[in-house]
Amino acid sequence: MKLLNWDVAVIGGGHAGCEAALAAARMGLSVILFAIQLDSIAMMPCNPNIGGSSKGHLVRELDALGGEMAKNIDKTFIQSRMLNAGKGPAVYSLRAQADKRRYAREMKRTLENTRNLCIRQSEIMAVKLDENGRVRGVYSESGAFYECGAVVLCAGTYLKARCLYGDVIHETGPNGLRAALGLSDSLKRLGIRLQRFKTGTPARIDKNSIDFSEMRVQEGDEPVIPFSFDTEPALIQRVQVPCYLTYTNAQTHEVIRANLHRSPMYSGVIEGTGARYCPSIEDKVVRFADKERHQVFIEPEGEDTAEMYISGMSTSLPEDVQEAMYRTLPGMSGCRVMRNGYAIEYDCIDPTQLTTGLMFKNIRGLFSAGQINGSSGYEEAAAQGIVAGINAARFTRNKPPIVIERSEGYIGVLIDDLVIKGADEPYRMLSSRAEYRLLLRQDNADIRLRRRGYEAGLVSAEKYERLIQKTQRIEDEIQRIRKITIAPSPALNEFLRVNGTAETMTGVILAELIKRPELSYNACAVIDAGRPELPADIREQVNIQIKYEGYIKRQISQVEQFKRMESRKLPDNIDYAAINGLRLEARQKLAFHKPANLGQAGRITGVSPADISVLVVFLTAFQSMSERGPR
Amino acid sequence: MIAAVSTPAGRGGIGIVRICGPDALRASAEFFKLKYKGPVKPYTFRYGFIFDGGLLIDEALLSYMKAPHSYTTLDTVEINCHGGYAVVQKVLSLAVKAGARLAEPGEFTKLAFLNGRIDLSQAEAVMDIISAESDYALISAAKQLSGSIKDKVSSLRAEILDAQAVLEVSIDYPEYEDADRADVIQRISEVSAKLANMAVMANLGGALASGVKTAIVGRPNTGKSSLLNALLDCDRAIVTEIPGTTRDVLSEKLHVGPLVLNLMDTAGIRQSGDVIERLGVERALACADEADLIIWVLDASCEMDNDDFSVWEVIRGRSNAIGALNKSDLPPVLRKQAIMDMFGVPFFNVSAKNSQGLDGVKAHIINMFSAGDIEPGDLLTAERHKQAAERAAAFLKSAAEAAVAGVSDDLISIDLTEAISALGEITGENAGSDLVDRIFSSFCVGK
Repeated sequence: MKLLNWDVAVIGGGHAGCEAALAAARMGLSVILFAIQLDSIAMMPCNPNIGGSSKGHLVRELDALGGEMAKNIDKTFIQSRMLNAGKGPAVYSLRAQADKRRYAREMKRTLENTRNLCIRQSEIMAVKLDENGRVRGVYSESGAFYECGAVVLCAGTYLKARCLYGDVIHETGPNGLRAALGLSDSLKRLGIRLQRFKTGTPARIDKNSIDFSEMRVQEGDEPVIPFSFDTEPALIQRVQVPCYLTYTNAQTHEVIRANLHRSPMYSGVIEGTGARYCPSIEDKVVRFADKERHQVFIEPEGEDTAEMYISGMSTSLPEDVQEAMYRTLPGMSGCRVMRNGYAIEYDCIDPTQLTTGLMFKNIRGLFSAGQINGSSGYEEAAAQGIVAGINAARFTRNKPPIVIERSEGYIGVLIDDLVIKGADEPYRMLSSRAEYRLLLRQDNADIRLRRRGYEAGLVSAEKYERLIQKTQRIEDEIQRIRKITIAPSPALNEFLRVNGTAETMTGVILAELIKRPELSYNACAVIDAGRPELPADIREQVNIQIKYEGYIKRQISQVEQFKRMESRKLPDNIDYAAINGLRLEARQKLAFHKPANLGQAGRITGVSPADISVLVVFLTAFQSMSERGPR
Repeated sequence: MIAAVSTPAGRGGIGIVRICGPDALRASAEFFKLKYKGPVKPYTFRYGFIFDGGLLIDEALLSYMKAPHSYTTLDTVEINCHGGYAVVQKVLSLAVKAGARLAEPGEFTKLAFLNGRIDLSQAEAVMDIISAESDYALISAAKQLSGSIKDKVSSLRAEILDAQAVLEVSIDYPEYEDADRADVIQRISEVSAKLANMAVMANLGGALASGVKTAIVGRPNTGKSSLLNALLDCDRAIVTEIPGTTRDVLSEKLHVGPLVLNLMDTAGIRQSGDVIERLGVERALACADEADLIIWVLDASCEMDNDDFSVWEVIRGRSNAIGALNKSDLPPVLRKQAIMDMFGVPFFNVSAKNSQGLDGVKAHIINMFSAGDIEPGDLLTAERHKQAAERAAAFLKSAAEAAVAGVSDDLISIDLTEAISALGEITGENAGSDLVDRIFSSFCVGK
């Protein structure tokens, strides 16, 4: 039985699947998105927030490319904060608490109202290839065949998932939803290597059973800064809901230690690899045994629910222990658990099988994005989703993939890390992973990536034109303040004195004044008579680009070095085993990973700088030979 | 422009330093002075002298291969000097000072190949060479870094990583409270100072084998010569006497613990109208300038005079100076603590006449040149390593200064990353995921 013909099929309706499907559909292709349960589209099964350090960058970049996550959280947030404000412009991070239900509902509505996009409740059991190893379509559980030109796997944590707490084991996906039991084996038959990861979530507790007076209140920022570059700030100022901070104590740790043997993590029932950055509270107490207390954040799951998310205390301890443990916290002595915390194990792929365009190297037309690639987090999933969606669409039109470089965005760092280094634990985006992060700021994501979105066909000409104008105005203003010399005067010195910085006897270039730590572009307005009226985002760019010019230049020269290596392509048909100068380990690793260029080759674990020198020489010889032909 | 020593490491009759690049001849002229003036013709040997500023280092031969008829097809200058480790390294460092960069292992061969000097059919052989040289460089680099020095560099690198992890954990986990950044700047400054010291010590690396150049300076009649004799007397059995070669300074070898000091007797420094004496004073100044260790001798039995202060002008700012308050057998006029406070130089009461107080001086010298726990032979000896340590120290200094000036953590971290990667060149550790690992092993973070 054959059911219609689609350009792109997306398997999974989580954060990766939604972005992949929207991207392909908006590019004008016919798209079908399969979800095991339509009510779980864009579900947030764990933390109730979007953004945060480096994840906020991903969301901004996603928005610049024409993605949906930023717009969707702008519609549905219940609290918003700009984090890291004191730590420098490179690491400012926007984070918003979501109303989970509304977030999911809004996203589903957007999918439903997108032309060319069909959503379908069904479990996909197998991917079919043609005789040339190219994707032909997918089979649903009833055996129906959906023919399509490209497939994007966005199965999240559902593949052979099982959820555990205490001695309870459920063969389900997150939140009690049905697991996907068929697809893993189909992928294995296609020769895809799988691994098993583990993550977890804390309990949800009834708001009405918590005494918040014993906790520290965390309010949102005012005014709220939108995630999306297209959201008008004035339209999203709304009453915000607070979060709360409390701490574990000796008694909490006592309860946990006394019951460690009842945790599936410690009894050996769990096989999957967990992430160091997402430890359960059991892990924290064991690994940091001398720490007297751990932070716990109490976050609302939404405005229409009493459920509170207990951030910092994910657990897979038995039900009775969970209850006892949470009750040791200040203000929670009478708390009522509504949903148990649990650990979840699932199959994911070894992401080194993918190209930087997120297609399987050996299976043309099969793409993969999100937690199935070994990442974790809604934002990481969505970021991969849009790239896979764009590239699946381009594949069906015989266009080369779009690749975002490490020097262009956190999305580039994320994908490059996954496909080049692989993941031996669930991968979380961290700002420390981005080498060029002073250039990859959340404030300039549009300047960095809008063009890529426009070229992909996801950003309208009108929006792109607006960006060009913005860039031009920034450039004009920077040129202007570099040229202006402020003459010495009592008024100037009065201004300098008031701002606590050195006075001057000679004229000073305005740009140099702005660089002083005590001053800024905005602060200098009073001494800058000819200043044009500019919007806040442009003033921010001018300030950052002038103030951090020295560091920015350093990073730009690092990027140039990086690009030189990335531009040296390694042909597909290199026989690494036959290159004598390479060490044996390097031959094996290179043959296995088939890096696309020298830069990638250098990032593979087990390839040394000496091996790269050999490759440089080989490449030169190889190219000369191809140019001159055999002699 | 690149430069490298192209003769095998170790003591040979001659050593060859090769400089290659369009600017090679001009660069070599900065430190190689021809005996007979006139343009350097290609493919001929020219006789001359190596100078470090005003100081004569060695006599040497220079040959010039003009582009494109050289191994690499670029202008190439080769300097044949005497093959001692110290001399060859000195010439190399002069070349670097003149603008050359240290060549990568096999880089000459690579250039030769890339510029088409070597036939394509030889490509495989070239790769073998490069690979072999790289491996050799790795192995020998590892050997150069035996034991404690490698551990020391590694542990300094780890200290920077620790400091960076403190900054980074609060960036990646903005609400995390337990990262104590109070002493981060202090720690960075300390590591910077240690690395800078290591780089200074590295200059001695080669010299240690041939001896720590030690200048005994002071105005006339403070007892310099007596001090020299007293020091030598203590180790009469192993004292040897070597007449100076190119210089008139007589140097004596003295074993002090694990060190060999080349004690250089200098003329008393004072303003003088006498031509001969002025010449002696100039030599003394040059000697002090070149010295790895300066011992400043004061006469404790009388007030300091103007000549003493002119000696101080020579020593001022030198981190490698110590002082001897001689004639402690006489009623004291200069007090040790007051002098130390005034000049910020460690001083010791000695009596050259009675051979008293010398053990304290020696113990201090051993300590100075062993940097606490570095054994001689465990110093950074490779120029490349020294440069890396210097770079790391500079990045850390800049990070600490930036932090004090109120620069934000994201920018400070850029310097720290560069420092860590510079030290990685010494230890062979690749930054990779070190920082991330460090964050998660040091701090308990996560949802």
